[in-house]
Amino acid sequence: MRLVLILLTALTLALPRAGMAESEVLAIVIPKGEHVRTISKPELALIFWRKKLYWGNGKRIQPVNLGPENSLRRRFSQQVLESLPEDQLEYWNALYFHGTSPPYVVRSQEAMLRYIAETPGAIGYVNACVLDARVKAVAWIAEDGSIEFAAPSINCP
Amino acid sequence: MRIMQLLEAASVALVLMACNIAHAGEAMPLSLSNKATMPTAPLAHDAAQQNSSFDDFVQGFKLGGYTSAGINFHPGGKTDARWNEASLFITWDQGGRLRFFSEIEIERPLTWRSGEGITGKDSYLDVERFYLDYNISEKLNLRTGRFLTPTGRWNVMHAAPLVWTWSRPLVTSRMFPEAINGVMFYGAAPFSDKAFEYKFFIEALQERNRDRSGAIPFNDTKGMRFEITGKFNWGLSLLDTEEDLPEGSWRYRMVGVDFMVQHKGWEFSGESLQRYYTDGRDGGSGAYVQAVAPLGNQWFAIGRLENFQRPAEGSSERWVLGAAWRPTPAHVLKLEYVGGDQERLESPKGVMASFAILF
Repeated sequence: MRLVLILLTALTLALPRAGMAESEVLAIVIPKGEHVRTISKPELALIFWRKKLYWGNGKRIQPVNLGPENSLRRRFSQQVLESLPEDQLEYWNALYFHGTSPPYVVRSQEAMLRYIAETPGAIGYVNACVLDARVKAVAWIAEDGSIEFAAPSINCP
Repeated sequence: MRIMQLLEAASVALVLMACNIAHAGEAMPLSLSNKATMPTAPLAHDAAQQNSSFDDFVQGFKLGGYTSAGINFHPGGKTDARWNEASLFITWDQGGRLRFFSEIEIERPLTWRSGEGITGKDSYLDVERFYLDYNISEKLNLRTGRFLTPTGRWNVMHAAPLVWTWSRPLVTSRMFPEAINGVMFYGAAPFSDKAFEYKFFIEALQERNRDRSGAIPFNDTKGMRFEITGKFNWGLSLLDTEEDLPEGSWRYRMVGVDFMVQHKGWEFSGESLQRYYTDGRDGGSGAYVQAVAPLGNQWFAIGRLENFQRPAEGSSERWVLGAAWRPTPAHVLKLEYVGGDQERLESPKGVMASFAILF
């Protein structure tokens, strides 16, 4: 009986962790009607550093970020841009000096999905569990920072 | 008409237009928000369409800028204070392949010198940048107009709110033209887990009235710059230019390397440039290394070592110890002490305090 209890407790503690880990996959999303070939992580960095401003078809890239305190933004920033938002302020000031603004910021994942769906050339990121038919995922960033180009199997709550 | 006068006239016209546009936009918010519900009679519809495209054009404009002021207590006891500049950026971007950028600056609007009082006679209007960018392909862009020479790191981001000290290393301003009127091809591409950036540029129009503020006249400049950017940033600059001095003209070839790394408030950077005459003789050189350390509460300590030598000017060595306070990313107060060998007009020494705002 004690063994069963221990096993049940262990299982109860382990399950949410596994669920959380799987739901921490970031999906890189673009508007549903857009066609973009595979995006590598360095290319994503170029886009979100605003060093690459145009897609291959000449359409302006409209990168979108979540707010600087959002945990997804911080993870994306750390894993793709290799720095946290607060350490990027000098960079954005320098870019502003050359007439380029930082990516547009939205307040929630729902706002991100709406913005992406309605803005030609947009690109952003959401938790893979909140993906819906309004947008198209082109890559997934796993919790360890690795990038995948096929939808991973995710157990969403 | 001289190219600078043309650019200045165009810039003033553009500023006036941008101001009128901003004013009109503020005065007619209803006309902008109501355009979708206007009557659908043909004439009214055409007018609405014209207004709409004009509104789109207008909404492509943005204004910004920076300003700074400072005081310098020289070692000999003299003091001077300056409103260094009032700089205005005008950008136009409608989301298409074409973009416009301009920076118009009133240099030294006011100067005070001990024993002389306040004067505005050192003031002049300068068009620092005035260019169009056109996207040709994913990795290739074209810039035409007047732009900062992409040589080294300091020159292309020299604005007072962006740099840590009021004093500027001589090697970043007296070895090559700070800006040229010409054409540049540039772009960026992924390189391993970093980015590779390139720039190729050539001067197309000579600037004639460049003798203001003791600037050295340069001619017929062309060059290229390559950068690997990421956590560590490395740059290689190559330049071919001609110094056009009253005593004669000399052509130089220059090579420069620079680096910058930032981590949790720490920053290390440096630049080194070496120039050669076309016959291979030493045509001047210089370098600086700078370290920035976070002190807490948005205070930073700064240290820099620099040297410089140019055939017409001899050599100069400087060391800088300072502190900077950034209460917000757009405001910076700088305190510094500049020491070294003989003081010169382009490289003052002593205690300096300055304040800069980016807006």
